[in-house]
Amino acid sequence: MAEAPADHEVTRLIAAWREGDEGAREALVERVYANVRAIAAQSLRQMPGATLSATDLAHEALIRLLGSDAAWSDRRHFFHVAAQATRQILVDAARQRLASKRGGGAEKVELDAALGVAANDGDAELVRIDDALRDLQQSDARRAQMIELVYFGGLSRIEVAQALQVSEGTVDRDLRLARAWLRAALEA
Amino acid sequence: MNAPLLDALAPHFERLRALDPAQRAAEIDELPLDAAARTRLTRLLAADDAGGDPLADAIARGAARLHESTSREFGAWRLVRELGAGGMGTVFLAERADGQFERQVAIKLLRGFPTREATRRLRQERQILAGLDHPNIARLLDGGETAEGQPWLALEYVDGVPLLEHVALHAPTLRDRLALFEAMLDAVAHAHSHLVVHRDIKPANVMVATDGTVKLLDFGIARLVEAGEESHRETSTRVFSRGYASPEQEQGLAITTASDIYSLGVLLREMLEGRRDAGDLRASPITPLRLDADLRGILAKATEADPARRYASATEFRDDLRRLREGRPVRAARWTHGYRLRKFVARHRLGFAAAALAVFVACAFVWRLERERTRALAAEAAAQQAAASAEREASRARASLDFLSDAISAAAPDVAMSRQVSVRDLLDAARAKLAARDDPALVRPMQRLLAHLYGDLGDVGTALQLMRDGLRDAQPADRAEALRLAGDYDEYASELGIKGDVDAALDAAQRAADWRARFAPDDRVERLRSRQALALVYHRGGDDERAIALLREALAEAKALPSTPLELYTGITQALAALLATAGEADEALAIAEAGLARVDAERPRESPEHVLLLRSKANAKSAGGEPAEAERLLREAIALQQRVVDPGGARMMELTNDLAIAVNDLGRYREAAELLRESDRHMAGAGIDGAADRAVSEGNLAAVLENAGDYATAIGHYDNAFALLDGAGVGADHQVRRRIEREQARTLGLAGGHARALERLTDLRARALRIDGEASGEYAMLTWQLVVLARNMHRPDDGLALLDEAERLWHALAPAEHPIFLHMRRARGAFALDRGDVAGAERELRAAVAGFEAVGAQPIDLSIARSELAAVRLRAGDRGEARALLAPALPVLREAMLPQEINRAAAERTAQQLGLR
Repeated sequence: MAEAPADHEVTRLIAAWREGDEGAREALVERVYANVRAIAAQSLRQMPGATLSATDLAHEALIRLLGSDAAWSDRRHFFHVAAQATRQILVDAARQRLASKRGGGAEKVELDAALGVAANDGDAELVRIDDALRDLQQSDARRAQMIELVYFGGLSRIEVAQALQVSEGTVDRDLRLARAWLRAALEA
Repeated sequence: MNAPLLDALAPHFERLRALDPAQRAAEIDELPLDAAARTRLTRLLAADDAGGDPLADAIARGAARLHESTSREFGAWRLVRELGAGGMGTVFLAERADGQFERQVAIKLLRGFPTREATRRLRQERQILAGLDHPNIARLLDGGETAEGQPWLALEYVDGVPLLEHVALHAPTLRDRLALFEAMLDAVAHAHSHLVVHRDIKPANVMVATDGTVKLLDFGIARLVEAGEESHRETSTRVFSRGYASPEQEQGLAITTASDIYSLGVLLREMLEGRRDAGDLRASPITPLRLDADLRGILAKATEADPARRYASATEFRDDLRRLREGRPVRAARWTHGYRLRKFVARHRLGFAAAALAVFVACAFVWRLERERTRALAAEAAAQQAAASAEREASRARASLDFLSDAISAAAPDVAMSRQVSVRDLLDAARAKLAARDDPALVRPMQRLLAHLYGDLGDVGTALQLMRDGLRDAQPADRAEALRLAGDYDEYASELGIKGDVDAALDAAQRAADWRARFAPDDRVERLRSRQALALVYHRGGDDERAIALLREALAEAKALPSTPLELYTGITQALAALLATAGEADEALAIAEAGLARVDAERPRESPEHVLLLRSKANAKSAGGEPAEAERLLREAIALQQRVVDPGGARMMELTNDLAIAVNDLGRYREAAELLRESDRHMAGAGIDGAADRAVSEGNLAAVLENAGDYATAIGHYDNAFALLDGAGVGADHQVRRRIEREQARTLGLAGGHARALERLTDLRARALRIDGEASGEYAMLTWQLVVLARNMHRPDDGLALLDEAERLWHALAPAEHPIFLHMRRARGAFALDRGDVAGAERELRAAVAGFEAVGAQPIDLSIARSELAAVRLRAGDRGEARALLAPALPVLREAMLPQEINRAAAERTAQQLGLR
């Protein structure tokens, strides 16, 4: 129901954002955020127990909000936002789960077991990745953004090259280094 | 590690990662870096070497758990399985997590994540909904928010099937369907009394439980969702379901209890007929019931576009249905009929004393023909075909075009398309040539094209045969072909309708609509064509109300759509004007016809077929509005144009001549009208129109005029012909056309002296009118009046006066006081007074009648009859002078219009004889 007017609205927001309107960016992030959540909820509905990668989330958010044939310039801007929103959602959820677990939810663990989902510490790892990525952003914004676009936004190396207007070789090199850096940071 | 450092390490990292570990260590030592930087580089290279992608793994696990967390915790409830999903969220079957007691509930997870303020409002609303306690409402039992703040509700779980599925499965009787629906109305009334509006009543929200109880689901939930979404306004949409939502809801206006009434009305129609409205073209598994006028009136009232005109409450709606079930008169229907009749009666100045004629409406739909259009059609067909992508198609189109020009030059090598060669000659030549071909890929499209042209010409028989052959095995491959075939099927439907095969016509129109919906879902002009075609079929099936509703929508859409072709616009305009005029809505019909005429004249020369078409619409509106003289003028203009510009025969001339006969009859020139009707009949035969309804109307018209002229015996014969036609077509006893004709024949019998049979027939008809139309209906009032007239002819003042009192009371509710019917009633009172020997009383009544007819400028025939009656009374009183003065001017009028045996003229002739007048 909301799709039709939303399409138009998203395009408008992206245009405003390109012209430097930070409010539009905020609105866009909020929109993407809501959408990614909705998609996650829906995927559960369609196939309970199934998983959906962050890439799928961002891609589906893109298609839902922009349509599959949106202009590349719109897609490029959108991907920045989608990747950030997806990251934020995943990390927020992980933090929330960690918090509720610390709250001593024995029942929750039981429920997890009942539904056949092994409890794991992926949540803690996700939070650490987020922290490390934030550090990298401070010192090396371009490489941090590449990580975000690839891991949370689901972009291919070619798309990243176009989005950041660098060569594909640069993307490969930067990604290799950033990945190694993150991994080293996590193992520290 | 800071940025410049990482950049500084980058080239080394790239070079060294390609080397083997031993070489790498050696090279690092050589680099001009400090110890810390060397350590970092070493660690980066080691991390690069490690397998796997922990980053991707962690993110994937996080995403997977994101879904889980949205679904787990719903207070005391544990999910069992998913039941479904809709616009408002997802529904799960759930049971008590603690197993405390065995109860299953439906958990509804609402979409969206509300703000804190919205959550607060949502809780408030939940409290109100939890207060609803009714056996036909699924209760709200519990509710809350998930850990992430997504709201959920626990509702009474109804084990059963959705309402429409139940109806489709069990095909309940009308009575049972109404009983189910009344229970729904009870539930809605309960909720409304708690100030809860459902807002989203639709088939999916009504279940029939296994024990047969009907339950409404999701009461007020739409409001909950909206309450939850008000925070982020730009994503918020109102929850409603298109097709069931009221106009105010779709327009974003205030939603009230009347909005639920509307949706209920739509749902009831779907329960009864399998469709939501006249424009609903979906296939439905529900066997439609035949709805009578009362029920249609109820549905119309519930689904009025203006909320103020709907039922004021669910209780009122339910009461009306109960009345209907118990066979008592219904408020909605009474209002509708009374309202209509009042307008109709107010405008038909004549026709209530004399027999009235009926208009052909449906043939008007086939009113198109001109040489330009013939060419345009051929060019259009070729262009459409050429536009089709397939090479095969294109070559076929060329072949078609070649064929057509061949045929045309063969018919008239030197004067092709000139005025001297009639279109029919060309078509006959083309058809003859076509019969010699046997390539179906060429022959079928050409047959269809020729069918259109013959249809335009009014030769329905030939058109139908060609179209049937041309459509054999037709199956569209692409959009262009689907639209072309849909046009062909519309034409086919129209022709079948004219022939009286309504079911086949409906099938054909439906197929055209389906193809358009499938191949060109966004094309609004094409949808207009479907609506027009369906409206015609509805009219043919006797459902004018539905036809009018559909055409009204179509006209509004056509006006809003700049791309509507003129031909389509005029088609819709004239059909709507014709049906409205027939229904007595003369003002609206006239306004529509004049607007259409203005548009046509702006775009076409005055001698265009469209101009003729709308001139006729205007004339009919004038006729319905009680201006027969103006109608006559316009029709004579239209006939002259038609003969000059188009064709001196065919369906159009039949209609125009029939219309003219009606105007002339209304003007009291009965013998002239009879002659015109015979001419119209000849045109009808020439055009090959032999549908039962049209022929019955034609026979009935001729009978009515003959009756007015006084040729009762011949009139009765024509009425019998009409009945035979209706019987042959299986038209039922209660069909309005049949009842009208029966009424007229009974009256004729009375005039011809068959008093006993007339009395029996009129009494029976009146009892049926009471049952079918109600006491407040025009039909009932009319029959009461006919009984008065019969009593007058039978000289039974006692029965007559009692009936007259009743008739007067009934008519006062229907017609304004200045209506001529009341003057005719005075004539009747005068006659009864005379029967009782009260000459003074008779004189008083008849003087009043004469003065009344003079004052209102009545038709000469009415005034002359009243004067001749007063003359007879004055003669009886011995005043020969006044009697002569009254009769002398009346006599020529009566003699001109009527045969000697017509009862009014016969009476006048007797008086004249006594007076020595010649």
